[in-house]
Amino acid sequence: MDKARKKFVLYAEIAVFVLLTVLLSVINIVNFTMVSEDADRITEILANSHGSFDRDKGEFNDHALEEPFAKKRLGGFGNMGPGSPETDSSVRYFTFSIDENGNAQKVAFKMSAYTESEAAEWAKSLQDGITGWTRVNYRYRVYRDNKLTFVTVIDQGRELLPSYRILIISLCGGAVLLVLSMLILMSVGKKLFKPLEESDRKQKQFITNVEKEFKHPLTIINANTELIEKQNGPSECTNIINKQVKKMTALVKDLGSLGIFHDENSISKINLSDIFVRVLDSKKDDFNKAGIELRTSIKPDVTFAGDENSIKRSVSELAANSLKYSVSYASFTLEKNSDRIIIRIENDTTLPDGNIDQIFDRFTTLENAVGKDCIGLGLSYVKQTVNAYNGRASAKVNNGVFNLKIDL
Amino acid sequence: MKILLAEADRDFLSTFRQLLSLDGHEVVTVFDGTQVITKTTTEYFDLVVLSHQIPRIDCRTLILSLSEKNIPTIVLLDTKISSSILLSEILANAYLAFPFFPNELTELMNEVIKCYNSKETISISDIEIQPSEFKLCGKTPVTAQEIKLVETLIGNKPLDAKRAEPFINSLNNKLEQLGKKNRIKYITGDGYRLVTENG
Repeated sequence: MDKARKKFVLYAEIAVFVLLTVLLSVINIVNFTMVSEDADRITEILANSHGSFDRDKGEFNDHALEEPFAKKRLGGFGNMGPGSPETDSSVRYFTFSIDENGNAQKVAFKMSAYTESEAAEWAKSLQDGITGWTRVNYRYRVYRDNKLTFVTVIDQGRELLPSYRILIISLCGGAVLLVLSMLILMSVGKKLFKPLEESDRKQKQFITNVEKEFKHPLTIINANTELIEKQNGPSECTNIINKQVKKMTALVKDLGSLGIFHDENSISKINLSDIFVRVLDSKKDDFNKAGIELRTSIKPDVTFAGDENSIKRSVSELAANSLKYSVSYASFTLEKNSDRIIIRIENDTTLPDGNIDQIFDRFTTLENAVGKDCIGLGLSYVKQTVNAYNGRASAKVNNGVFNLKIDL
Repeated sequence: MKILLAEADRDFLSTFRQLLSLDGHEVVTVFDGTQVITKTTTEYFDLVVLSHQIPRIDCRTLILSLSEKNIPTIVLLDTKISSSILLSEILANAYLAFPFFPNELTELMNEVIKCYNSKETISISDIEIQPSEFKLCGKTPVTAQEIKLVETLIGNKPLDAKRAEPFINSLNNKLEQLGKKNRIKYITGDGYRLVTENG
């Protein structure tokens, strides 16, 4: 349950991280895009005004400002953006024309950070472009008129500063939110999982108690039956009692395995191939007696980090299951693909085709179990072992062939 | 054989007292740890069969006390026989887990008494077991089941692998701790064998 809680916190935190990242990215991308568009609008106005806002030159195109935004003056909110009438006097810029011989001629120069000659060189370096950002906070546009190439560069430092602030606040705020959400999720997770952990603990305790409370009485019943037989001789009644006690003893032992099926303290590197060979070898005679052909394809030296006892038990359950339900053959395959271990069990069967994952449920048996000594805990044990190692188990019947696949 | 049977469950005591008596044994029953100490101080017993959950005095203390009095002990467990039990320093002479059949207990009793009365030493390779002292190489305590396992392996007799498993693991651990090269390993087509490891 502790694992489940940590998984919950991890996945929830990943979801928060993804959402925050998407949201803040969208905000910042849109913000920077709008700044770029505003800057392009200004360079466009300049381009339409032959590179100069100088009204005295008579070349300034007032119509360039007649854009929808400038017209929609909503009271005090009207004078904003590149279409504002204040634009021409607030923007710092320069425009140079460059002839075919590469000579740069000043068209307009209203900048304090650079000299005219520096600006001329700068313009020459940009003449092959179209539009974009240059030197971090300057936006440029290149346009051609007759044989001259005009390069306009505007300073957008003041417009970009708020955007960078938003970016930094987004990053810092996002990090703080992630940490806060992690703390909240851990605290909420504990409260949320407490009833589940309690229920899980009670279930295990119940199984342990049932196991304990059954063990002594079974031993005593058995012993008394033997006492009766010794005193009065065996009878049909004592035979039946013996048979039922054996059944209940097996059930109690299986229940015990369910309670503590996986000992996390005894994880070691085990040779899975060895275990398969050993178990199947020990069952060979049983398969022969039952007239079932045993086919094996066990890749050698497949190792696995796990609890040896629970793995051995699971392999035994798989073999016992095949022995019980195979008709004429049973096939066991163990292979390794990169870091995945694949176990395949195949046998012919009388079951109808379809997905039969329910055979891994506790106390579940299928129609072919009728008349067989089976309580439906063996494959449940296998499934729990597989789950403990984050593996997958599936079962289906296809054309009269039972297929069980375990992926570890 | 005079047996002291110690269990809190009176029905268990009554049933097994009768069963063991029919087999010719003299059985005395007690239902708590203090009575075990009292009885074994005042009377002679060939064997004590003791429940792990006996009240009043913990099982470990009782095993120590009985060992000092040189009385062989079988402990009945509510849990599986695990490596952690078989590798503890304070070890009974045999363990049997509930639920069990009466013949399992009687067979184990015979095994324990056989070891206790044995005058021989079991030797193979550089391993020595003194059955009467329940000791491996004179140092490490072993149970009657582990001794029987070694005898089975030496005699190449068939082995019930499922029942022998915890004892195979514990013996291998004990041999490793003693620095011995021998191990019990599964050989394909041949079953479990006592082999000598290289290196």
